[in-house]
Amino acid sequence: MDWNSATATDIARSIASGSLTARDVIGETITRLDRLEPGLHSFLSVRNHDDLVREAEAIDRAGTKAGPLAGLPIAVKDNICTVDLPTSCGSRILEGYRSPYDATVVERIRAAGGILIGKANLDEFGMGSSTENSAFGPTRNPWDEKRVPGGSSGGSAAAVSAGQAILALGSDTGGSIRQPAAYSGLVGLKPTYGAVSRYGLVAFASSLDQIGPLGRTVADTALLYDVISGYDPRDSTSVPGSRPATARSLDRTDLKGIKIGIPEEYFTDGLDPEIERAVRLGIEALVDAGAETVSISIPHTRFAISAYYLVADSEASANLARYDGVRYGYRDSQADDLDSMYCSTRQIGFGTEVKRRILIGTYALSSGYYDAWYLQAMKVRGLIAIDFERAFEKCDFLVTPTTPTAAFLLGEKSDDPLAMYLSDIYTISANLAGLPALSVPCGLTGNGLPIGIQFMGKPWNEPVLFAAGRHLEKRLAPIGCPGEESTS
Amino acid sequence: MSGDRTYETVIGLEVHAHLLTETKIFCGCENRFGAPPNSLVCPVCLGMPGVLPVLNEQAVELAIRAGLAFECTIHERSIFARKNYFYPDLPKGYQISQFEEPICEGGRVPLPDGSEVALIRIHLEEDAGKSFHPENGGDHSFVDLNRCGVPLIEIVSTPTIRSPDMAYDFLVSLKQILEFTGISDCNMEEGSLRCDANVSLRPAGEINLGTKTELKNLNSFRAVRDGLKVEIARQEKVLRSGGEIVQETLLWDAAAQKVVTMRTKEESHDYRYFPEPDLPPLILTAERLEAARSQLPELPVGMRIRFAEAYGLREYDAAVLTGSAELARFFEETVAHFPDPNQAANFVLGPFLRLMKEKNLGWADLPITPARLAGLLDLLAEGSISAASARNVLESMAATGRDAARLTESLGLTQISDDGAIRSVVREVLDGNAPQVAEYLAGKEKVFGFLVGQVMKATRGKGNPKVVTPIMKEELAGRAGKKRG
Amino acid sequence: MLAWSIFHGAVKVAINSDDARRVAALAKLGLTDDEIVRLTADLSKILSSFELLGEVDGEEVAPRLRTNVDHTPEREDRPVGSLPEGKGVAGAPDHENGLFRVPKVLG
Ligand SMILES: [Mg+2]
Ligand SMILES: [Zn+2]
Repeated sequence: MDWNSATATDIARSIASGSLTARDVIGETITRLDRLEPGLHSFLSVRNHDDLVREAEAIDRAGTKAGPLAGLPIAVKDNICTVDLPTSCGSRILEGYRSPYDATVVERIRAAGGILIGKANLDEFGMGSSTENSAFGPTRNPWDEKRVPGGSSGGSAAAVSAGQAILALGSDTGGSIRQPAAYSGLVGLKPTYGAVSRYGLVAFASSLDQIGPLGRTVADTALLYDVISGYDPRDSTSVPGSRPATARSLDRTDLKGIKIGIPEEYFTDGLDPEIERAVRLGIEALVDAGAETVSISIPHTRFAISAYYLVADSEASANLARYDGVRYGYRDSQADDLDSMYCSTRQIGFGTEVKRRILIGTYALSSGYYDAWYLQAMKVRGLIAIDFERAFEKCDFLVTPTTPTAAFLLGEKSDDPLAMYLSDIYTISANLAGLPALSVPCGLTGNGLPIGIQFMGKPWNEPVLFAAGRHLEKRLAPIGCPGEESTS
Repeated sequence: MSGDRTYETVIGLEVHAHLLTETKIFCGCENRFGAPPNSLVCPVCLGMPGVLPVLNEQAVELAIRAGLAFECTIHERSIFARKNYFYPDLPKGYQISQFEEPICEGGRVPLPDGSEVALIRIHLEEDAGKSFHPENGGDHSFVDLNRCGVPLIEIVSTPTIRSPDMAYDFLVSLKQILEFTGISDCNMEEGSLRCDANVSLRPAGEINLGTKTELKNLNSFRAVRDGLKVEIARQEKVLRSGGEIVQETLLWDAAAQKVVTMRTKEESHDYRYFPEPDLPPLILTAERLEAARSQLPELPVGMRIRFAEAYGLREYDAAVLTGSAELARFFEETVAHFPDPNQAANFVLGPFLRLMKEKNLGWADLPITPARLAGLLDLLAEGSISAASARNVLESMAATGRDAARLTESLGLTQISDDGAIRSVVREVLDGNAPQVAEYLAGKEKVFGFLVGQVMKATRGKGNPKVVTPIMKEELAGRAGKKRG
Repeated sequence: MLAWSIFHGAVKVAINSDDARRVAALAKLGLTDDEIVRLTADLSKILSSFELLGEVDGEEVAPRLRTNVDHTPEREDRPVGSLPEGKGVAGAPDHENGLFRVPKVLG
């Protein structure tokens, strides 16, 4: 087996057929993880090697009963709660915190035989687009260590891209799965809002957050999605009802009868011509598979960034109020009255970007400003959702670039929050409207950096997006793996 | 100068009542008072990272019931909101409450004099925990989160209460309704009913409201009345001397009988309410409301009228008996076992309630069951026991929990009603008191009482006076005849 | 205070350091003087860029509160247990006799 390009689907099949053991897989993964970690810093914590080996051996003993993820080493973003490793959210404020419970998605992965290998680095509380906002240092892009892996699920993306894990969980509030997937040459899904339980996902912006899978291929991503999705009575925004497994609908023979919408607003100034060219080639590949294109407009797109940040930061300002030094995590014990304890605990515990967003959110909700900022943003959010509903009257899903540029250099945007915010421009609307969106690799830049193409669908149309992704994979030359010469 | 104006008092009350559910509003921890600190807590009510609220169905039922009991408009759609502020007993840094679009609006609370106070709204929310600031705690405060997440309804009155006494009546009536309907146990000592007041004065005839103060820490009905009286007097004094009321939040100090400033308007909270993104709207179906309406327990006013009519009780007795849900229930169960409602009412409202008060008995641990009390009433009615003895037996029942017949016997209190036995005692008494008999026969009728007393003495109180009197008269008449003859 | 003016429906906003302090106090965020200066500038810049939202006529538009679930589920009122006694406070920076301990509330 070639570990550089091995897929979860292949490995799972080999373990099931007995040609490979879970013990072998975990051994190889640990070796790669340790070798690459000093350069990449994908992880904030990794499980004890002996425990991992024991768990793999137990899966080998269980044989076919072990479940669809049997023996697959999986990285989990460190804003998802786990009992056996710390959950830090990349923040000092959760210093020493250990969750007393597993997130629903973690329970499901364990039940499916997946092996939680470690907790992946992220921008603090998911606030960022480069993983440079981690209190514990940035993660680097395996394709070019001078560059960011994207964010906020940058650790998850780097780990899978470099083979430190076979699959990973990320979370996506405004593009935090899809943008790093695009920057790291991976497939990443932001599921329909309510498809995956948020119970155990440390909230950044509750009405936008979704947990989703990152994988090397569409099939791998679908495999993990099928395990983690489904109704959870512990999440009141989780949608009841069972839905067919997406992994089974991947191999539709063509895309005949499928109409793909090309939103004009996503192909304007600011889009790197190299990216545009690659995405247009991707669209042609879908047309070759039988799809038709239609031109679409999402007229309120230019308001999306403003609406997104106001909504997200308002919710975040409340979600992050619980980090007060009283019940868990960090406390500045020098402070001698309650108010100064609160203020200095949060001053020391939070990084600059988190503070910026708490201030914006607090401001947008405060007396006298609520209507003009928060409420207006929620109205614009409604208009954007309506734009998409109208678009879907004319097409089955939309195709856009995932990001306006490929991975940028570390430090390139860290002093300019607005420039950083613009890297989410194509991804945030799916969160505002609650839609599923998939990023799939779509060639490389001249510098050999991965490019992502994004499919945005109607609610619950993940199977359609996956099927389209599969056709693209089949028709485009593979981008290969980081560290290799590309084959295209 | 404003010295000789008359002022009108304007009071609005905000009442928080714990709901009688098994569990908290958003998690499966028990809703129970008195457990060891922080023993009824879980990740959800501790506000740990990653947790989410799931609404308790029974809390919704009880809020609907409150809407029906107070005749509110119950909204088919209501939404939850986050109320943001920092305090150590508020784990998430926000309280999940309702702000815009509450579950109930409007409604009214009837007052004993037949008038009513209109309500603005009733909404659902979670309680916070409890902080302690012990004198000996040094520079520290302490927090117990057992109460955190207990379901509450907040009932907000219109500012149409005109006096501390009216506020008191409002609360009595409100509490009575909440108890009767099983919405809340309204236990003020345990904090399950709490009251804040908004108070302002305005010159009589003025339409606009004056500057108000908010009065907190009104922990008993008495505190509500006393605190309001003191605050109104304070405001009146300020206004009469030409001063201005400062908008502030005040705490009632019951021990010192005065109000203390808690925070001024400048330091007042900006709660930054916004819709709770973790909870979709609460939607109530017409069927659910209909079911709740059909299961609504009897309200105090209706029960009072029914008691008067069905049991033929005096208005006053019916009102007192329906003054508390437990008392009304106890009475109804008693008359289910005993046929004379008026006699039962007399005894329950008299000796029975007196004993409960004297011995400080509570309904929860009361050893006297309605059936046992009915047994005692039977003995009294058939004359097997005197009224005085009945009180003794009642007291023993409270102490031992045993039934009336057995107690009467073991206490040796069974009345002697047997004609023959009484007659022989009467004869002995008359024989032994010849001078008094002579006086009686000479026309000094007062002596009759003395002679009856001697019979009671001889029977150690067990002679049934209803039997003794006629026999005594008969025997005396006989002796008069002999004397003449 | 904030300087507000409405031009053609667009909100003009400029934040000064007092505004930043007021908001930081609400959010219980301690900030150094340097941070105040830097964050005031950041906030002004970011919020100014969000001003274009004022161009949207929101009069007739319903705010989008949430997506995909139209009514909240309700849980049966049945106890499911709590953390073992002592576990709730175990991870706290300071606790005593089963209670969370915090610096005294002033005032
Ligand atoms: Mg309240
Ligand atoms: Zn709980």
